[in-house]
Amino acid sequence: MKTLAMYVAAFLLAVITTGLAASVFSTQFVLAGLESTGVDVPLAERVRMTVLDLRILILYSMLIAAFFLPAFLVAGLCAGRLPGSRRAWFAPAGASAIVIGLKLMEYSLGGMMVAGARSPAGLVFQGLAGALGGWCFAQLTTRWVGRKQ
Amino acid sequence: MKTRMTTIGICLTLLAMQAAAQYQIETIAEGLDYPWSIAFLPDGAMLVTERSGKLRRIRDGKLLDKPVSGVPDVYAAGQGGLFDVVLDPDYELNDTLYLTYAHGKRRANATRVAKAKFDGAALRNLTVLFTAMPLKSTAHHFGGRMVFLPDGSFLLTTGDGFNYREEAQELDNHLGKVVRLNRDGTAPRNNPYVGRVGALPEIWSYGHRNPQAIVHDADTGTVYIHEHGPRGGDELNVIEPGRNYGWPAITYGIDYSGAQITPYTELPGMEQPLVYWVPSIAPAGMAYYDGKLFSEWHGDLFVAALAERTVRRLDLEDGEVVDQEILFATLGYRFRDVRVGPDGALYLLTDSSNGKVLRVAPGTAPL
Repeated sequence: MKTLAMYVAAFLLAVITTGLAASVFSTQFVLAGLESTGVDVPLAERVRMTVLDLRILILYSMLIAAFFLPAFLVAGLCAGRLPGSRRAWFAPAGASAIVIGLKLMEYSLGGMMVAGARSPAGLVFQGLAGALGGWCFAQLTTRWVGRKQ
Repeated sequence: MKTRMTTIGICLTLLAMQAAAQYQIETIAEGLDYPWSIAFLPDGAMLVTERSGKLRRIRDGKLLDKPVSGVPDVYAAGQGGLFDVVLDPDYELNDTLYLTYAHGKRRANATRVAKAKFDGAALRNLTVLFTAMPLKSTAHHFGGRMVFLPDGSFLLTTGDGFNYREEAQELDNHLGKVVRLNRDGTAPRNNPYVGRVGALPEIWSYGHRNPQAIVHDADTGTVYIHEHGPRGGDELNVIEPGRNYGWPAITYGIDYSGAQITPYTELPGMEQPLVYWVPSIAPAGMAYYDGKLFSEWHGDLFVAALAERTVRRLDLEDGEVVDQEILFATLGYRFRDVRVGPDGALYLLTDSSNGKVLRVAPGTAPL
């Protein structure tokens, strides 16, 4: 029971970590898009908008959790049966979960819902946020659960 | 004191009720597949576009089963499909009408306008006049309304394509623009960006998101458009040539995710809307009332709203919107378009797979 709780806590922390990073990355790409049209965005406005955008965390975290769940299950199975560290399985799983999830959403909705992921570079950075979450999950579960076992 | 206030309140309410137009609503046609636009033929018949790609006729108050043939293939997906139908100003002489529609396929589509001769049952000699460039790979934000100006040219709205919003600020493409064209599809020589290096000659104004209505007020020469905002920030704008209407650099809306689109609601060199709506009402059609049936509505704008499921009457005085009246809310329909018929009645299109054409005329049954 305690092990399950640790997995759940690690999963939630991974989701939040990815959500935070993804939100910050998305804001920077949106602002870069604006600047490309000649709009000047001073640092104070950049910081203000980055902070304001954190309000997407609740909605985006739910999506991230939905993306992560199957990816982490597969990564867990692979890590248990195949060579390689847990981090090497979970970080790519997190990245691919976000990228595939966002692209599937774009396909079904007809447009990219995370504005900062509309460009290839923006999508790569969303994937990096996913990799960060995957890495966190692997790190925490290895430390917590591994120590317990 | 309380009694006096109550009495004043009742009197004001009664005055307001007296001032409100009395009307009745009649269903002209139903069973239309997401009707988008309506045009009134000189013989009293009507043409209605269905977003799925059919052009339907209503004659003697009856929707004819057989659609008009010769309509071009449309890209019917997402918000794409067959959009506007507009008669040539000289229709009685040349039988010519114009269609706007989404053209192409999933990975490469665009807003297009074509003209054709209409013989009462079929379109003939279809000629493509304009295709917005570049082609896009989304099924959203096509714009797609057009209106003729007194000089015989016409204005067409295009959308930003959803994924390409920054392109609305660039002059080297047609996304998020109002373009002005001659009836042969060429750009008039007095368009604002003719001759400017790196700018497309068809552009009339820019910085638009998804304008789904454009009307010309013949009394003052003013051109109005409204455009969908994202979450909030729907706008009514007065369109002037060469002006920048700001999207996405300025907006009163936020993204569907809740994220900011920009830090700004105003910037130098960018036009402010005449009216903006937060939360969104999803404006999708518009009419300038110059009919004779409702004298109290003369000179007002009517805005059909999808999300709010109403039609808004905007009371215009000296170019300003001084009041807004919400109409037809009790019907519960998503309204795609509102037009003034040649008889002075207001015609409404409802947005559904069982779409209706409703006629609003003076009567004693206000809703």
